[in-house]
Amino acid sequence: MCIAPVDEMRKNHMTMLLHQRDKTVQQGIRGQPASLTGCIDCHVTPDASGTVARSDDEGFFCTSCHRAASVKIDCFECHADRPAEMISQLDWKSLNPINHSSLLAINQQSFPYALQFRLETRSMALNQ
Amino acid sequence: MNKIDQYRRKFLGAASAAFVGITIAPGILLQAGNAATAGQGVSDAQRWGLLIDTNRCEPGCDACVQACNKENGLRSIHGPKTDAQWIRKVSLKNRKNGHVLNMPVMCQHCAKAPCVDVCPTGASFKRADGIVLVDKHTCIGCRYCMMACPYKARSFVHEKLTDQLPHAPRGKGTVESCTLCVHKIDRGDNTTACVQACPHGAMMFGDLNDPDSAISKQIKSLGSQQLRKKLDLDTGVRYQGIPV
Amino acid sequence: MSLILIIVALFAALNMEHEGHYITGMDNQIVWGVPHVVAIFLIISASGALNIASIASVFGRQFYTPLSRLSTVVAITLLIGGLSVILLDLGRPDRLLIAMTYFNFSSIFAWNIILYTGFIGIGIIYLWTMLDWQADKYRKPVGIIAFCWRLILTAGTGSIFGVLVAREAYDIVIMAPMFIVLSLGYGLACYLLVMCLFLPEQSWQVFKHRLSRLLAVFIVCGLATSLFYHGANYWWFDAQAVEDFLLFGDDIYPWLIWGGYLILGNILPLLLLGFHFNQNSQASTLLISSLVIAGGLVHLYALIIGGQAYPMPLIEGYDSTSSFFDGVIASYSPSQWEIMLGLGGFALSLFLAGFTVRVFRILPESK
Repeated sequence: MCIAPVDEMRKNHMTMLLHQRDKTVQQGIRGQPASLTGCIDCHVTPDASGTVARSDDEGFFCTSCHRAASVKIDCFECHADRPAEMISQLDWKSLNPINHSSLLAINQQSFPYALQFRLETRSMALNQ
Repeated sequence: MNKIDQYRRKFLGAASAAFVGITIAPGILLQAGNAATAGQGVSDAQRWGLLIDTNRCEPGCDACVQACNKENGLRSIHGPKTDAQWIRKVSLKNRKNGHVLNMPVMCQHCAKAPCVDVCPTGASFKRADGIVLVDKHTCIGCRYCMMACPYKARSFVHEKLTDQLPHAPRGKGTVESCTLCVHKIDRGDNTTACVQACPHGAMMFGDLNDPDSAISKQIKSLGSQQLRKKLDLDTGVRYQGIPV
Repeated sequence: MSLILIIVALFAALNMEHEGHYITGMDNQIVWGVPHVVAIFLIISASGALNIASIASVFGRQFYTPLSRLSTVVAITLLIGGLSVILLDLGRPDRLLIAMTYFNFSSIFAWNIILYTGFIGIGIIYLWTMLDWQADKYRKPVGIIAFCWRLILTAGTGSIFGVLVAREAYDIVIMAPMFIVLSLGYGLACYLLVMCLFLPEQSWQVFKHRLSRLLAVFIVCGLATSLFYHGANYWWFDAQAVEDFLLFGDDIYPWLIWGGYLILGNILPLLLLGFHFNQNSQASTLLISSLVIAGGLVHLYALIIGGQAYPMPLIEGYDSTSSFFDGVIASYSPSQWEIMLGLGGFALSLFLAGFTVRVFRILPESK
């Protein structure tokens, strides 16, 4: 059972999503029935072998219809196409983390504090 | 099979909950803390902010940065020049007396935000509770906000992304920055990932409008400064221990 | 030739759109690069190119009346070229519709979108009043509207930078009037370039002396304003450090400003014009216009890229370092994609102008 009858959903899901999208982003109204995460949480499930279809696979819930209707959406360029717990299984550390401390060290070596000082002393000299 | 059952159960549970939700009254399902789940939306009664004590901030420690990256799924792709950095550790040194300061710098969530003023489509906006966000649905990627930001707080997504987190959607061709962990705030966590991660207690989250909040009391007793105060932007991220 | 460049530019844009902007030289420090330099140059030149028409119909100088049509055509095509470059450089060019429907009226940029589209519309009406003898009576009022519109447009383009309080190089009101004055010379140079390419030698003889003199006057005006801008920034507006960086620093910018803009883009053209080099022939005017255009591009490059490259101070009197290039002069080297896109903008303008000239009666008749 979805948040509305199937006919209603087929006809109006895009309007509902659009409406909810602006409410969520601009007013912080979350956890409502017509939220995209809500859709994904129910409609994206692993198949018998335990694998999950990704947004550009034919078997993905949205794609199966959109292909037939030749509708192109860009939701999943930004939004996750899987429920949260399937993503949290990924090891974040393995995904090429930004190493801030070493960058900072490199920066300090190659760009000592002298830049602004150099410019300022020159301005002062020119002013005199 | 067990796993599929698990999902099926969850599906049925969520669906029936949604059904109950729409038949009784929309939006009464989740009412947590100060979250705007009651269908009302956030209000300007609150103004969320951060207070950073630079005297406690340790040089070389980047726990807040790592926590932010993890919370929002940021990672390095094509190197430091184009990678997104929502929060960064900056170390400053006084040119005359050598005084050294350490602090994290992120979007300062200005009340009078230059990025909001310049955005041609209104994608860069300030929420009623003071959080400055990018509505990536209407961002066209012109980067004028990055030109306008006095704190270099914004990053442009330079490449196609995969494996974004459900609560932190982000994608190629749009601009993004610190959201003050808006998903956590809306959930009622009353904190941000960086504040939670700071091992030295140098960061504090709270409601700047509430005189009884811990952050307001701390500011009242010790005062606070803004970065680039001359610009008079009334920032929501305040610092202690930096020269006035 | 133009067509090839346009196709190459479209390919570059498609590639940038598909891969993302990491393939360009632009990054989170230098957020606006060569495409913006070219686009802004083309846009201010567009408003400047309309001047010939304005001189004729607003200020009533009959001599320039036969030149007005080409002036309007060049103005429109330059603007189209500039806008295409800026559009194709967007992170999401597919969202043009959003840019047209969601307006934030506190944004100069949004106002400029209206100004640019309006300019094209008014330009086309203006052209009609020149081509249709029955519409002749509307020419003066339309001309006045077009003239005012182009002043606002150039001021608006200048204000894109003038309102940026964050960066010391830009936060200065002179940006808007400076762009207006600079547009005179750049616009006329672009106009002459098109004229020399398409006008028969015989007709050119009629106009060459006056137009050359006009170009010299506009170059001097532009030069004086730029001097005033840098001077004012240096002495009055508390931006000494950044001007010092742009004018006397160790990077490429002083070379661009002194060598590229001042010598190649101003002094050399003035000398060539002053000594009537090669009797102001079409070939020599082509050279002079190209020099002025190159100088203008180089100057905008130094202003736009240099202004971003200079670090912003977080706290007065403190130097900063971080993993995000705080306190560091940002480096920028444009990739082939950006340059292809920029050249494509010029090519598109030139192609459209040439096409229009061939199809309609735009060029002055030889007498």
